[in-house]
Amino acid sequence: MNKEIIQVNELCLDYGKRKVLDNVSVRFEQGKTVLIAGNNGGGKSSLLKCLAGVLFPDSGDIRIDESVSKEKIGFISDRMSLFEDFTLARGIEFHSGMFKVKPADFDRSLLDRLKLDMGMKIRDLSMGERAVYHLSLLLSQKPEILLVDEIIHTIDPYLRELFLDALIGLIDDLNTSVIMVNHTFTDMGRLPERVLIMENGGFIFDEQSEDLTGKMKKIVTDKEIKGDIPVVFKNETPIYNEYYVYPYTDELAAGTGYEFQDVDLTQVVKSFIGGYYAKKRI
Amino acid sequence: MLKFNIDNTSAVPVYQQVKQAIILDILSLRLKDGDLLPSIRSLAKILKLNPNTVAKVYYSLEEEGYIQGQRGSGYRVKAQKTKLDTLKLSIIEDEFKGFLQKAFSLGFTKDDIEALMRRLLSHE
Amino acid sequence: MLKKEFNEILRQSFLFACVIVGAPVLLSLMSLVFGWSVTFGEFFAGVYGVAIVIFAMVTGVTLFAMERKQGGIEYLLTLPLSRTRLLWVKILPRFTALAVFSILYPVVLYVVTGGKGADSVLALPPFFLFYSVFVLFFLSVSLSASHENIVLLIIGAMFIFIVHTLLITSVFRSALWSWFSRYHSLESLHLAVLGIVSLVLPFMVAFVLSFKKFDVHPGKRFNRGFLKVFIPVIIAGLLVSFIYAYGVGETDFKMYYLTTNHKLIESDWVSARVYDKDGGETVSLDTPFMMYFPELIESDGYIYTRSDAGRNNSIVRMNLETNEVETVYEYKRRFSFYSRGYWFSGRTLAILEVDRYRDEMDLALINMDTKGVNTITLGGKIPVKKNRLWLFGMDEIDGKRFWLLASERSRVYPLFRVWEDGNIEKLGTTMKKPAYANGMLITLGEEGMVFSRLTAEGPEEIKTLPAGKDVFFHHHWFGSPDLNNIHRKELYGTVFGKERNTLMRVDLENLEVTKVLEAEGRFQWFSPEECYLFSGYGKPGKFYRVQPDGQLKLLRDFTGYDGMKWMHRFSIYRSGIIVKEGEKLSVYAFPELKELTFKDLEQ
Repeated sequence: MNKEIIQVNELCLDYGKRKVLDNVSVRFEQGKTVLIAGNNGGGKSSLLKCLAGVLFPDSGDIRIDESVSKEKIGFISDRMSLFEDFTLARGIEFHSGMFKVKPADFDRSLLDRLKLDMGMKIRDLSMGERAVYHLSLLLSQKPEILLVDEIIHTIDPYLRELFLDALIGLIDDLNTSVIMVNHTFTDMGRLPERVLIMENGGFIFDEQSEDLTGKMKKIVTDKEIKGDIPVVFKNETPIYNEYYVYPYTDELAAGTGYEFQDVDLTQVVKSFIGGYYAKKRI
Repeated sequence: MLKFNIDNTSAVPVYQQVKQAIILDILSLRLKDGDLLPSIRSLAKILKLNPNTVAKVYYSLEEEGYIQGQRGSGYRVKAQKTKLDTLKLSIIEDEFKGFLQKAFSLGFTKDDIEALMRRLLSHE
Repeated sequence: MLKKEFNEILRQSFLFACVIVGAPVLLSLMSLVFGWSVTFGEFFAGVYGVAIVIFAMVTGVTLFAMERKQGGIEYLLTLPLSRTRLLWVKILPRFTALAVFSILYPVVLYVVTGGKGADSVLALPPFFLFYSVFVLFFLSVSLSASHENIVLLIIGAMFIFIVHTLLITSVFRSALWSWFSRYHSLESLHLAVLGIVSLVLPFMVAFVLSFKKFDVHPGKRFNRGFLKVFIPVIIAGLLVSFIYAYGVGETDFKMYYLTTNHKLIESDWVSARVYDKDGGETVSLDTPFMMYFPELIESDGYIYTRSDAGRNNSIVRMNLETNEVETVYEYKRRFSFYSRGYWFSGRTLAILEVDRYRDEMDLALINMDTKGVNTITLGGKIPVKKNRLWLFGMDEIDGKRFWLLASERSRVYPLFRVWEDGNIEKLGTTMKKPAYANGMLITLGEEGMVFSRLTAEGPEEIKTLPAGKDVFFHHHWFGSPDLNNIHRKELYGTVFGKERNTLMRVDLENLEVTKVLEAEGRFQWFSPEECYLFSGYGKPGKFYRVQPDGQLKLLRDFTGYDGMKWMHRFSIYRSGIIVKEGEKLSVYAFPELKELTFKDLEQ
């Protein structure tokens, strides 16, 4: 339907003995917003860094559509790397210069709310201020691809909403492809159209958001469940057990006779992560 | 204006929920014929949705004839009374069919249902 | 990005400037306190040289230091710059700054020494500086991405540089000499080529290629990629270099001398060989023969020369018949070599020992028969520091011997007489090199050539000849005959012109100066009957004898020879001439200019 903007083929990356990326292949469509979630150390940040060109895989390749020039790719990691000795003003000037942003086009709406002194150094910003600052820089690039790694939670809810508004504007204007790495869903509104979950350097879940709640359900019971049911995670409480089932199909309900309840998106992600940790304990 | 909550735990996809909510507003005349809907961007910002999602809703609504999109000026409600009436009828019909199904599954007969109907309607 | 880099390098340069001004100031203050006799200018030149070498390493190694310190490496890599362009942007400003400072160095030296050049101060010679700075910079750059510890990297770069230098000079032995030499010969070029091919090239190639894969991953992966390219390239580079060095070593810079008994001495900077004509045996000597220094003299069946072999300089002599070499004298001080400190009289060799940094001077009188040395300590009365000194005459009055000394300063040379008992007298000044003959001191000044009789009391002016103002006496050139015979009738000299030179004759009996001949070319004079003219610079080579009446007699045509060409040398000796045309060496003996062949010699 939409054209492919990023193509990832068999990416492998090892840190010593640990496989950070294990033969990862995935395609990203233009104009779509994707959320990549998963347990810590699953490889999400590394994948994003590879997409940004900041990390090179051991093997495999990444193909970004040739119509996207490097100036149109925005990347921010949880390290929020910038030149700390720069003043805010110099940082803006530098970034604009490098990414070919005209000073008039620089959108200060987010920054202005913080009421920061442009003469202060970047290193003196708090984490949240820094995130907003860095994101402002990225937004001003009018990026066609935006790669954001786990910083949303560092921004307070008010500014977060402003950021999401700005992002929505970007997607609407430029058809920006957004790939965000985050743990939670709620910070992001309903922006992600696709959810990927990474575990041990590979994808274990890849669905469109609108299909999510249809494909994942839970069974709440105080007994053990029987039958051939794909349980991703079992959450034990003193009163009952919750069995998270994926993928859910109607035949499953009919066949087993259990009552399947709907789950919300955060529970989806949490259950996968929980499942990973459960496996590790075994 | 439009106000609705999106149920995150519902199995119904978001865009479906939004679409239905807009349709309901049109049917209940909270949105009248010729009213301008919010731009895709604005609605997306209000609901914290992806603009693509909102766009999907609007295209779908346009296809089904509820709204009309004009380049540059946005989407307007296109609600003809006859059409609305037909729609309202079909909605009620669906609801009633659902009620009948439930009643039959509980063991009621056609006569029981008729008697119930008459009793309820006489009180209105 | 370039602006940011220039700002960074400007800051580093400012620091550098502070050091090169601050340190000498500090040292000058200390020298005032401790009574050293080193001037600010000398400290400045010395500090400058060392500082720029360190600066080269620091700028190279800190290529990414700022970003690392600020945690900005990741940001740097997201910028829309290809890795290659990033390197370019990083290296160019730093290289430019270094180039500017390097080029300023010879200028600084010139200013500090009053125009005399690097060897008059204790500072690094320019070639050494350029080479080291260039090589160390690129070496440091290529290591900059491998590790974060700056000190470690600098030590590493220095270590590699030193090891490499030792390796190269073990094969290409003249290389070390050329570093410090003020004769910028082919050696310097060879060394530069070797250094670049076997050091700079492998490191930089490996660096640039592996930098393409430089990312935020820890250095181990980068280093692995680096080594993968580096190891083959450096092996290839070293191989090429060693072959080149061996090949070049064969055509090492060699000096030649033809003795009065037609032996050919060939010397490089470390050893010499004596070739006998017509199938005679070739003898190898451990000592080099420094032909282009004034100390080379033939006398009494020996050839005397300065030898720089070993730790100390020494005077050695070789028996012209037996080829035996013996050390005549060992210098106690190490900086004597800018003074012509020889004078022969009878059986005594007088040698000046000078320490130009400490204002000390000795006159060593060596009895050639007994080898006994009598040392007269001078110093104090005669300014020694930074001056070139030489002996130009000797005589005896009422049984007391004296030697005549000239001290070259800027434009005016003060003259002194040193008596055997240690007494020192000032004799006046001269503006060009003086002479002493027939009891007469001959000096040159504004007014012309001044003849003064030298009595026990001092010089008495006798006559001044305006015509002799610019005469350059031939006996000051190397290879000229020894002038122990101070009783003579005439002296010859040349007045140098733009296109043509004039041979002048100074009549020592009538005290007259006459022009003998004006011609294009170079005059070489041994005696009135042994005077030659050679014109071969940019013109066809013609070799003439100059007859006492000024007439030229063509001895031979050397068309094809051009002194302007590299490695072409035409040297005239008392017993013959040596013509070097590139690789080809030809030796001709007087009077017929018969060609001599030497066994074992590559001609």
